[in-house]
Amino acid sequence: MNQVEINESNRDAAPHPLPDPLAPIQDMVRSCIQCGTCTGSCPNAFAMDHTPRQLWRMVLMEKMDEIFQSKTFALCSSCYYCTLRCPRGLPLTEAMAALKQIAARQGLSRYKQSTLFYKSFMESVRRHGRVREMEFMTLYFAAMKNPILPLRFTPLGIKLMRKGKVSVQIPSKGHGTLNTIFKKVEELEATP
Amino acid sequence: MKYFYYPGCSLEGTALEYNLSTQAFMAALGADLLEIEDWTCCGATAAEPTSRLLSLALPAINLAIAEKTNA
Repeated sequence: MNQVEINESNRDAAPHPLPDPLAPIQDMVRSCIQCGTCTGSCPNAFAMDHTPRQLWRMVLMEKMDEIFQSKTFALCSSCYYCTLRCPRGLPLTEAMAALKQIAARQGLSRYKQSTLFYKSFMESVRRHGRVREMEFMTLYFAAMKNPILPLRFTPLGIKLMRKGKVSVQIPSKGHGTLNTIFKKVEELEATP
Repeated sequence: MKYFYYPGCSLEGTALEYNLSTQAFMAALGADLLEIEDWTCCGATAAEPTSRLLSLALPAINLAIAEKTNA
């Protein structure tokens, strides 16, 4: 009898090995009741190919391919409305970010643009303790290796400069790099 | 009443007006705003897609500075 139980539990433990990175995100949305409050609250849902509610279902159903062909999580702008309103209190914004982290870590080409955007932002923060918008955009343009891209941003840049909203030294007070804390975080994350 | 605050990177640049109106609003309420010395970027929406731990560590620096500051 004991023998049978052990076999049973073994079978339960590893029917299909879970795609490892998805497991913690499944835990975040496990008790989703598919009410759609997240979708109804999302200011970016109109541009998404799957609504946030659909995405959580896809996560629970382990639709790895469909999730990482979708632009839904990449379009999350972290406004936290869904998290605030979720009747189950689920950390939905955190779940979106976790999907972004997988896309970045696996270097998925579909998400290259937003991954490089965030990376360039954080590089500027690492260097100065604060983001310098001009430097950040320069790093981003260099990383994207697309000569047309800076031109697309030029009208916006000029508009912002005219209003005194972008200067070459913004922000001037931030000094001292954040190398230490960035390194410590890397170190802690390397040792689970 | 004194309050520590840090405007954040955007409020020194593209969202300058929010800093001005926050200061005016708090002054009208009779609250003193004290800017945290050498505050750090909070990571905004860029830190969490990079690392969750970093997104918590960055704003924690500011809390730590505020805690250490005598005012």
